[in-house]
Amino acid sequence: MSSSVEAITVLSSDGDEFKITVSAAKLSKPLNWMLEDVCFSDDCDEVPTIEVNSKTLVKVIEYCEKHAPRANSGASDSDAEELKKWDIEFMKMDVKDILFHILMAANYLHMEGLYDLACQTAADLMKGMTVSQIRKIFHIKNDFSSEEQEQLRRQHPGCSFD
Amino acid sequence: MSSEEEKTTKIVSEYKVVKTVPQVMEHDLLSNNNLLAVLSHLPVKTLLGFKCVSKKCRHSISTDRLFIKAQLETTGLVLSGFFFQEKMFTYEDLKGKSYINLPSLFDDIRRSKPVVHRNIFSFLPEDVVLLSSCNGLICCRSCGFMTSPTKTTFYICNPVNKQWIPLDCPDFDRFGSFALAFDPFKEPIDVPTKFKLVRVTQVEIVSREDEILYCTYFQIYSSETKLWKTSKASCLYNLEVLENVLGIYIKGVLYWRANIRDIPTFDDILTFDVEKESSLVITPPILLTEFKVTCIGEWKEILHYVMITKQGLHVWYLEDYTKAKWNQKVWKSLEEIGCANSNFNDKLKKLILQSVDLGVNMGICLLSFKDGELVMNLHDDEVYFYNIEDNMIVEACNHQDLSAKRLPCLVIPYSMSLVPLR
Repeated sequence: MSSSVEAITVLSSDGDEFKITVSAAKLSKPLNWMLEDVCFSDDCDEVPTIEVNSKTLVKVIEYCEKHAPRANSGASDSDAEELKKWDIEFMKMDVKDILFHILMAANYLHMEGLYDLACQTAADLMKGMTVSQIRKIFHIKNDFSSEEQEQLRRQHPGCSFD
Repeated sequence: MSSEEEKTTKIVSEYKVVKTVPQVMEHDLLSNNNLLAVLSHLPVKTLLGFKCVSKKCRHSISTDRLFIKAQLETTGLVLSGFFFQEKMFTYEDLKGKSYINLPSLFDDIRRSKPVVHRNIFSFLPEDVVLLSSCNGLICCRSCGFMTSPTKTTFYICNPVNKQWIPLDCPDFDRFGSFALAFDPFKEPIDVPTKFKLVRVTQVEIVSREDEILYCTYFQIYSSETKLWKTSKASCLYNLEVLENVLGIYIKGVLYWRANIRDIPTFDDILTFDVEKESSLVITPPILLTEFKVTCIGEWKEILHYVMITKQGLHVWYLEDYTKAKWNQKVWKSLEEIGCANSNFNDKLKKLILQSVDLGVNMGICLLSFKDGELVMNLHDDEVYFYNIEDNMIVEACNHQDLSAKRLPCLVIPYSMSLVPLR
């Protein structure tokens, strides 16, 4: 790989162009492979597409750029603390719009840290949700018969003793 | 081409296949893996309510050991509340037992009165007396031994999923301290849940100098062999482990508070390493002749020793098990505790000072300690939860709330867990 390459250009699923630095791309295995692919390739003009929409990709790249220095070199406890605060701010976003897309993008791009963060944020949101709200947001079909539902309701009044 | 390059190329080509799939996103949203990954970040209490989302959810939350282990590793075991078991004062078992949830630490109801629950063990086939709790599992035994001496059954149960295992008990009398040893983090996911039950057995021996000593040994039940056996170690101490003393299990070692015979104001800690079958005696961090109330408990997988004197609240942690080395962690004056808890009206300080002046305990007792939460019994009747880090006191209950004839009760810390027993 040529060391002169500092950033690559990628396309989102909407066809918009984005730049991502080499060190930030290292946070994701598929992005890293793509990077090597681009650099090894003789035809460097081809711009690879990432199947993530523009709105989500902006946030994913923002996360990568922020976390890259620490991921690549290790950091002190105070940096880790600051990064944690940044993560919390970063995750203050509209659920339906983007959080679940980020979760899926993190899964798709094999980004463990972002995936965990998105899961935790989603879980915190779910704490206050009703069963039907959860079915709606995850597109889950209620596969219990009405008898089974009645039985569940009897077995778990409020579904817990606490 | 090196094998490394070959691998990279292969993965890249796989990746390209993925790349050509149009709009993975919307379908991926429905993927069970993503839903389960999110669910594994939720506490047990919330998950129980989500059993009704779908059959797949119910299966994962109730029986899928892989999901249950992932959930346990992500969220850890969090203190949920305390069980209060009435103590025996006669030969008849007392059936009074209640569960009090810990008021949530993260919202405004922190200061509201905790809720008392009474029928948690109604899923068991008979009335029970609670003996021990360990990482989400509870050990109890059938009531009323004296009336039917041949039938005492022990139950290991999980009140969350209402599963239980009965254990037949050999010719034990009902006295003696029983402790459950169970480590869910060590558990492989594909085998039945393993646990051990340990009983402290003591026999009085009179030495030549007419001193009474206790020959102490341990009887261990293993869920793997389904048999009781007697430990290799036995020891001779002047330490008496009273019945109803709670055994505390931390990282493979059980700890009991033991009274030094004839000196009721002093106590030591008796230990038993369940794997190595070895025992130690650990002396408290400080020997004080002045008035004090003390208690031991687990906090962040370390044994802690909590003491209140007229100087205030002192907390030590056991830094080195084999050297029995303690280190001080917290000190708070009684004024500091009183100032932050104006509703509490300095009850603690008044009681301590009265007790110091009169040289007798005026009704103060530390019932339990776990994860920074201290359970105090004041004026013989009122129970308070005191969170040491937040320096916040909340009134928990009185003996009427607990339907107990009297306090103090045996207070057992409890953390909800989904761990299956079958």
